[in-house]
Amino acid sequence: MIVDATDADRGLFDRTFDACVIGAGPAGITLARRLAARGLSVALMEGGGFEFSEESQDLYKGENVGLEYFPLEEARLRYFGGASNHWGGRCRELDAMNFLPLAANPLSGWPIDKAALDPYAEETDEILDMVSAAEMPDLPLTQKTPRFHRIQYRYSPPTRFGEKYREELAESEGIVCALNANLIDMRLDDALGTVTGATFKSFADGDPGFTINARAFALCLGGLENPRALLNCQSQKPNGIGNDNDQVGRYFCEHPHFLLGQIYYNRPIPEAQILADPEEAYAPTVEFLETHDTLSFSLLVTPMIEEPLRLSTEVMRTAGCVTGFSEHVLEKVLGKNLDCSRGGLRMYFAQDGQRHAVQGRVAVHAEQGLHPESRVMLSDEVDRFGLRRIRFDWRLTEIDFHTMETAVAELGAHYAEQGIGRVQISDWLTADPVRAPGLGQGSRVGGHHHMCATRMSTNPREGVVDADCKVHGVSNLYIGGSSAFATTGYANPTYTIVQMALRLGDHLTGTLKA
Amino acid sequence: MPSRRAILASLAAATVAPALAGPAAAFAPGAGGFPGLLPEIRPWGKFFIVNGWVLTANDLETLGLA
Repeated sequence: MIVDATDADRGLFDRTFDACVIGAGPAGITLARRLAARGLSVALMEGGGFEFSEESQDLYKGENVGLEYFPLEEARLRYFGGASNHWGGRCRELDAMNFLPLAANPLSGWPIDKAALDPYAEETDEILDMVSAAEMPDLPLTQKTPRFHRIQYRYSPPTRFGEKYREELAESEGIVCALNANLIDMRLDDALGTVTGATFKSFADGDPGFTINARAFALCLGGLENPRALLNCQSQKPNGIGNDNDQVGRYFCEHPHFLLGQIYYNRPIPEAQILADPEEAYAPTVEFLETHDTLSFSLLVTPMIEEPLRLSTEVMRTAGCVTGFSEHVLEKVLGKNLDCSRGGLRMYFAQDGQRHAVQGRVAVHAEQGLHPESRVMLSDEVDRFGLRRIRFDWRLTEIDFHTMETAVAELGAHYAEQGIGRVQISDWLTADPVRAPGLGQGSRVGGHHHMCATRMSTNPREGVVDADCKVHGVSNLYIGGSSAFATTGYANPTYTIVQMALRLGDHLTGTLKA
Repeated sequence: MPSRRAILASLAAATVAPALAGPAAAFAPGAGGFPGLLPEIRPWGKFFIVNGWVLTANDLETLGLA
């Protein structure tokens, strides 16, 4: 059933649930459904309502003291369905190599391997309404020097979890879903090693709040709110729950999204050819990572389709580009800003009168290196519930810029070898010192992907959760979502989030039924 | 007598802004791509990064930079 915590009979919660899942986004809904399907009782607690509201979204506001980034209240959505309410649907599994340690990324390597998540791929495809990976394999790529895989992303419609599963949750006998139920605190037993209850309040003025008792708790609040919630639970632990080793909030990663360069094709690419193969994406081979000592990444090449070239324009352009005098006259006297790269007579005669591309853009979605000072902290400002807001400090380091420059330079080498064209690297990436462009400077900066701030690690001094997503040092507290990623790979995170939620559901089922 | 189109085509083939439209145009004699500045050439494996362009050794010869 689904109730509103604002006016619900709170007697509904006067019991001990098998599990309390906090947050009803892709991770929380997937986990709750999994547990209920296994016969366990679940309290699914969502801070927002069925629709967007200012009062709920306001709780996401925070302070940014690091790299320029989206306003935190715009980088995620706080209502039923969570981030799935605004995601684009691009999906890909992490590659096997993304789970392995990389020399270029100290502390990298997951406690689990890809095989631990593979059994959940088919079900994840169904949840996300996608064709299977077998139907969209990576593509063969002609290369003189092996560097890249030509990869294919898959696309969810995208699935809006709140819409897709609302009716099922409303009719569920195993799940009590409470809307407008905001986590205020978690209480530990006397030994401070087990969560005994979590307290919630609605938005109603003067709400005294209520407690959910459960045998296990799972935070599925999103990649920024999971660490924030742990850090804010200070009633018994001054540094927050799960933070004995000062790891909560550290190693925050995004997928850096930047424009790395331009490609200038040797021959115009017809529009029909572009539309037949609309997403040209590359990822590095294992050998590439080892040879160049980089992180992983994907490069997305977007040809820029233009109208057919016109003879008169290209005569002018060619003249301007091959004679300094003409260029001088045209530019200085006539005020023409000639762009020699976009055409010319040879391009004019090479075209067939169709729309085409003579240039393209090269963008990156990169893995980010782990850095302990790239982190989610608490600011001094509090929200309406008295909980401290986020102080956000996203940082990129030398390995990130080395990865991006190497990626685009090697793509340029590949294009030159194959006779496709030449690549010009973006000025910002070859500057000394290199500085990432901010928002509005032609790049997206990031993908709204908030990862690793409660990362998975075998060693409690290198992360927050273990291989089962259980918080180190707390016997029954788990984390769902991309904050539990050990490293990021380059793939959009939702697919892996769902796989991991299913796996967590199976682990919790085994634990709770033992 | 050759057509106007054929004459223009042969003119295009003779220009220095052909297959290497971008970089060639930038560095070609008289093009003024980087007036007053010597290009910075950085080896990159078998390639070269020249003022941000990823170029081959042949490209450098073509551009008079070898």
